[in-house]
Amino acid sequence: MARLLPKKDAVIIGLGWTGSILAQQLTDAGLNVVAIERGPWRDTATDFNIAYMQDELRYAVRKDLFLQPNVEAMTMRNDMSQTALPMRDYGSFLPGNGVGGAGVHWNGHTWRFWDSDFSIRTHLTQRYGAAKIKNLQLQDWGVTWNEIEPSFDQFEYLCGISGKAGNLKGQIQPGGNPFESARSREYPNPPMRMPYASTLFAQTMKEQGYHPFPLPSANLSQAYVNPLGVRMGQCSYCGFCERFACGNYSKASAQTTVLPVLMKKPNFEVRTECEVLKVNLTPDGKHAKSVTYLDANGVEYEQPGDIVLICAYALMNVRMMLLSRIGTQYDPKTGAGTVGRNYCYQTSAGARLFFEGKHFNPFIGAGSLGQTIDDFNGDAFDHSKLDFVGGAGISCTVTNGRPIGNRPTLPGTPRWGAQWKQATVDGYQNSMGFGSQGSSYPVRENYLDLDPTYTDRHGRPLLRMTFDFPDNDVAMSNYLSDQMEKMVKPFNAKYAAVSRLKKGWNSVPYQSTHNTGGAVMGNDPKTSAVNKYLQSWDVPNVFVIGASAFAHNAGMNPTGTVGALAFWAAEAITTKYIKSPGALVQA
Amino acid sequence: MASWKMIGFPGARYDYRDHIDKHNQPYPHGPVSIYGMGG
Repeated sequence: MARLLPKKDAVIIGLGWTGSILAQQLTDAGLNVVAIERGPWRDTATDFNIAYMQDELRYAVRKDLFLQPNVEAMTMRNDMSQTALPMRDYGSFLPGNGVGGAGVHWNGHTWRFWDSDFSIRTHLTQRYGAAKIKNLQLQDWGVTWNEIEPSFDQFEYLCGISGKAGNLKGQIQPGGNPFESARSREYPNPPMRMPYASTLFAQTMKEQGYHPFPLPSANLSQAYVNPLGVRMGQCSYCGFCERFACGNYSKASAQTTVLPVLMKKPNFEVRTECEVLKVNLTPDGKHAKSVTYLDANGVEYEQPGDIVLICAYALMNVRMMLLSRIGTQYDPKTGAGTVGRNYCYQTSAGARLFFEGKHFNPFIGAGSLGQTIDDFNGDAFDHSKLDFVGGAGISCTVTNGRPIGNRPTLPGTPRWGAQWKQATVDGYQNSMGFGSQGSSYPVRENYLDLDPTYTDRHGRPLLRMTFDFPDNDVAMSNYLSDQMEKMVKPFNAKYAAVSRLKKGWNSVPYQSTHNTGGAVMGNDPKTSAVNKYLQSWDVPNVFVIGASAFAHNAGMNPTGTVGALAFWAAEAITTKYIKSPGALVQA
Repeated sequence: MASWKMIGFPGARYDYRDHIDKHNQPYPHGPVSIYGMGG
């Protein structure tokens, strides 16, 4: 029997980026909030010490900060004719673990999705006609650009994002991204100083008529005090960012932006190493009354709450809904049901160039240090004569020169021995790369559900992923590779190679931790699991917050939009829901 | 650390603010280990 605990105003599942922002906003509004976090407590001074944070073997290779499959695994398959099998290790994507979530180990690329993303179906239908997107399950997000823009601004100022505005209130700004949607004000910090490779990329792109700009970065270009009064430090370009936590207080995360304020509040409490098993509903299935969780000793508790906020990683949000019977499982055969619908990923390719006599110094890097062009992203370019929609940002980032993982060699080089050693010496200082990070658009047959066979350590079904790159996205990515083939020529490199995406998603090699959708937001309860405020259509005192709400994934990193959605949902809860609990949108 | 010297990785230095703007120039310092030892 679970031990019944005193009721809270709000129960948050997961204390990562979204859970921390929601907790901060709801406690400010006077609510008593508890966050229940499966992983350990983690803070900068005690857990991310700069004396040992540069341990590549521990953090990048052995993945010390990540979710381990014995805690939660998943099963995977490319299509419905296959039997999904459980992965033995996380590979293609690496979910976070513990307080701060994946926001601890991210690179810090902080994009805003565009106006044309939030209204993608309307936009593309108006421009190209409905037939153009007939094989895609693209749908509007229910929220408009003008509604969500202030929430992007809140997240960027919370984090101290370093960048250059490209569109200030409709006025295109030199040096910024001319394709971004109108923003209300400049970034809180100026762009980072640029390394050689990114500078060379920007110059070469400019000469080809493209529009390079500094990648908006959560690695701070200068010291900063955020609106909560939390101080952050200047990035030291140490080259230990992705897969690592920042020991320098210069990468925005829950730890460096929110938790120092949140943890001091008397109306907030976090319980770490406590795993929520499910959300408990009333017998009619229309109201969440509590969550059941196990603590580190295996003791079971029931925590009642008036509001339940599911704020775990996107994939885990979907699984929690399915395990708790919140909403109806999506069925790819009939299109009925919404939970698990519109799972999307990221569709990427890359270029690598080798020179002679250069000093790129790749170890002088940071997660978001680089230059980007968006000339071929989203709908920035005309698709009327192309056989796809969508696009990719092309970025030249210099993230690291870590010696285990970063040893670029020319194709044809032996994999070991003296020749390999010499090739890594030549490649280390003489190689640079850039890559296309492409959109991932929903199709009927890519979805998430519960596995019929495999279970976790508590006997609960694992999440089953059914995914392959849709034809549309493969065509898009190959078109981007064609462009990159042209782009590499003026560099006059000794050797240049551009990769091409193929069908057949492989869950083993690392690709991207940008898993989106499955509990998407929208205006129609037949095609979305949550409404425009991220409130469950079926259980109105449950909000599901994160990239699970993305109706599609754009050619950008998701965290900026995740942070914006967190502030957007928090505002709806604090200004609308708590005054009049119930459905904020009538179905 | 022999391999770090071989490829030119300066190790666990953690602060390159004085060198980010020095494009296409050799980095002047040898590696340090995670325990702060020189090579």
